[in-house]
Amino acid sequence: MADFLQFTVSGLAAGSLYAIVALGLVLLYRGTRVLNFAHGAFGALGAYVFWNLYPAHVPLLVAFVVGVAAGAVAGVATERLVARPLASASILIVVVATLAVDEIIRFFLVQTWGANPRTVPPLATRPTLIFGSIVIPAQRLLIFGVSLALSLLLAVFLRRTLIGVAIRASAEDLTAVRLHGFSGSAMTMFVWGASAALSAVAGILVSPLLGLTPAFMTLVLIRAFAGALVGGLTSLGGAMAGGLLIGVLESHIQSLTSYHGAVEAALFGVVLAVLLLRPEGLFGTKETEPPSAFQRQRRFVLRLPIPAGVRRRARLLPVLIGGLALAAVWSSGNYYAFVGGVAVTYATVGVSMYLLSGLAGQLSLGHGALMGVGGFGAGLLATRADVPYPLALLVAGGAAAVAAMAIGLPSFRIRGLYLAVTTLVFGIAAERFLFRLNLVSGYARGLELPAMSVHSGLAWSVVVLGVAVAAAVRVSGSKPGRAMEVLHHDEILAQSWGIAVSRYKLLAFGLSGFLAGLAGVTYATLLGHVTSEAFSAELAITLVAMAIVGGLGSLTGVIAGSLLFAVLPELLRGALQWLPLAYSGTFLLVILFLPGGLAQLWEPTL
Amino acid sequence: MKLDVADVSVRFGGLDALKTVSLHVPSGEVVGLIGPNGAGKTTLFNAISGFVRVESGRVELDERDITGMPPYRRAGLGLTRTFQHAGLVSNATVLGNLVMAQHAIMRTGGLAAVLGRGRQEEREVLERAMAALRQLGLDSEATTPVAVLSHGRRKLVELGCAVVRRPRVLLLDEPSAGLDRVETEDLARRLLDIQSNTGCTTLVIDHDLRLVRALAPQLVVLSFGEVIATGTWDDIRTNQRVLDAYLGPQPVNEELSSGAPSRAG
Repeated sequence: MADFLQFTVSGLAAGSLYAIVALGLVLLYRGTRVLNFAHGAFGALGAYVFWNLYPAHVPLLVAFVVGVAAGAVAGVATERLVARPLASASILIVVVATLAVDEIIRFFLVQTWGANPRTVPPLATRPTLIFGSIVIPAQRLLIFGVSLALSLLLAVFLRRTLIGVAIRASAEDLTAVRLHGFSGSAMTMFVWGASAALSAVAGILVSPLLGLTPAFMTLVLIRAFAGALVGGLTSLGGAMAGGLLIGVLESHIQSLTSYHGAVEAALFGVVLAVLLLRPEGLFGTKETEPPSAFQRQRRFVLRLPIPAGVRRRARLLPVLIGGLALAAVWSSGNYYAFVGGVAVTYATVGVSMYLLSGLAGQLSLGHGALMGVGGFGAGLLATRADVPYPLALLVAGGAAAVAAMAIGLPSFRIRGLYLAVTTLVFGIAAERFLFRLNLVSGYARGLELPAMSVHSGLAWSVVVLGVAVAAAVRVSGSKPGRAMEVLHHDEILAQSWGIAVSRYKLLAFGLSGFLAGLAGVTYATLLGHVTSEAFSAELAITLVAMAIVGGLGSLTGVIAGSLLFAVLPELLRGALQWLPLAYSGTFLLVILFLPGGLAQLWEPTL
Repeated sequence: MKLDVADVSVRFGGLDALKTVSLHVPSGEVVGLIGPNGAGKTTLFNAISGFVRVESGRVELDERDITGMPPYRRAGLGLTRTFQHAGLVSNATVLGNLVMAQHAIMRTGGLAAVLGRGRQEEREVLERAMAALRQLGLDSEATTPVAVLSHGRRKLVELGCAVVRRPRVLLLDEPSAGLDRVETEDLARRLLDIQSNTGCTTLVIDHDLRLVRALAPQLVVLSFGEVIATGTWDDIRTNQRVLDAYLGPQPVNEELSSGAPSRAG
């Protein structure tokens, strides 16, 4: 009983921290309908600035103010440079854009202060509260107190001040608020700044417990996301409660098991259960139509001047170029065959994204995990059961299809952003828990695949890409593809046209998962030895980013984007630390200037 | 195929959107549904097509109870509706929309199509779409994206999408909304054509009483979620309850009593 209380109390302290991070997320979401994945990075930036000023150079309070201000400035800059130009872009693009910002900030932190973890002293050492057998260290008490004070302050601000009320109202109807004489632009900027400042406070407070690394806030952010979703993305009180709940849950799970990834797996379960039973969260309200953001018409569309005659005759040109490139890669030795194989594999995942997101309009940030299901599945079949490769390929693809349909099930009830976050959490849970099970990979040792020459690996990946392209062409030109297009556009219309929306969503998830699974098998084959890191949540994000860069609505586009991302590391050989910046920078530049992706350059209708 | 609505009630929170509404459209007939804004006309369409939950009562097609059936299965039975603001896939072409709209009448299954079946049917679908476009005079715009069409042309495309599905029961929700007079008259002619060619059972909502008069010999009048009158135009014109509770002011009354079929179409 004392243990139970002790774990609950420590959980509440951690939870209060998740709560203020979640509060920032929800504040921003309510004000702008953006779910910000760079939120944690703002906090990390604030903490780094703080600890580089204090205690060596300036007093605590000054360092605190400067640190929080640094976070807020990063938030406002993100609003100006990224979120505002993308106001009318699709949810998936905005989500990946904030992920790219996160990547860029972390890159900046590594470049400036190094990647090595650094321990920092607690900000408070006294008083340690002791009630009987329950001990509350001062740092945790401080976290609890500051979090509570900040949330009360925010609540009063939003209810009692004019601008606070305007911000709350703008969640309902931004246009109406602007018609009452408020500057929508200034409010949006304020919300971004305030939200980022909250994260910076959290970052500074938690750094003594977690240590300072460029990614230390990621852990906090995932839990805050879970809290915000559980409590309800539209409810500030809900975010608080959700954060506390997640903190207590985590503390108790850690008391029960030290199994790696158990917390992440539990978070996935809780988020999934809440979203399925009550999609608006425990304390949230059902969202009606999202408020209209600033819609800005693009004045010009950059496009290659290809004459219509050439365009018609150039149908087979991509195949020709692909064939020539393949021949060159094939004959240039093992290294390039490997690179080519990876590029072709990425292209297959691109095609799978095209089916799911481009055609059916469903979002997935869990494709890395689906590849993993394929890769580990085929590996286990080949090593444990001696199944021949082609059969293992098919079975593993089927397993990935089933997994994809399972993560697609929530799409019957939840849409857009919620679905994206659910699939992301699934990816994280798969990486940290499923793929590290002893049964799957012998904990973190990984799985050895039967040896195969690089050229055979390349050949198989080309075969798989061929299957994927054929399937995509077939689907997009027939009944199921059209049904997906209609439900992508308008689910009500789809139903009134007799389309079984749920069935076609499942079909899209299943097909996409099957192709991702096949790609996972060839990827694992090329690598030879796979660990859970090979199929990380970050891979999933890169996969989505490259598909968006190419142009989700175009088959040639997603393939071009995948090839570009596969080749980038080769161009940066010798300077690989720049790769994250190259990926994120390419992504941001492309979506800001070519909203339809690279495909916009040659596709006439995008 | 006849349509029966029996004692249907729909509640939105504390609001009775429909109170024990009953109506009957005999097979092949056209019935007009009129009533002031907020009377529950579109809600009734939503109840018939399955987009709102019915609190009590039944909806039947040819005596088959479809009350709890999901909307897409009702569409599969031949129940077809249009929307006030042309329901179309705006980023697809006109022809694309007419092809997509035939989903419900295709025999090939979704998975079978992925595996390469049903190529013959694909050609039939395309031919039907082109035929419908020619009939509506839209063939020159076949490859135009719907988004760049005028509202009037879009309403016509939506009508094409409804017709190409071989509807057995047609629910038209304000077909003339946003159209000018010339466009409305053109639409009335086309609707009459469609009705006489296909003989489908039709329920039409419109505020343009001339259009309704041209199409529907029978009327149902809704007000505050209740049917306040049913009958022919003469019955309605002389119904004191309609005059008092709904039509009220003189100008509308005049239009109703002088609206002759010859002027509409």
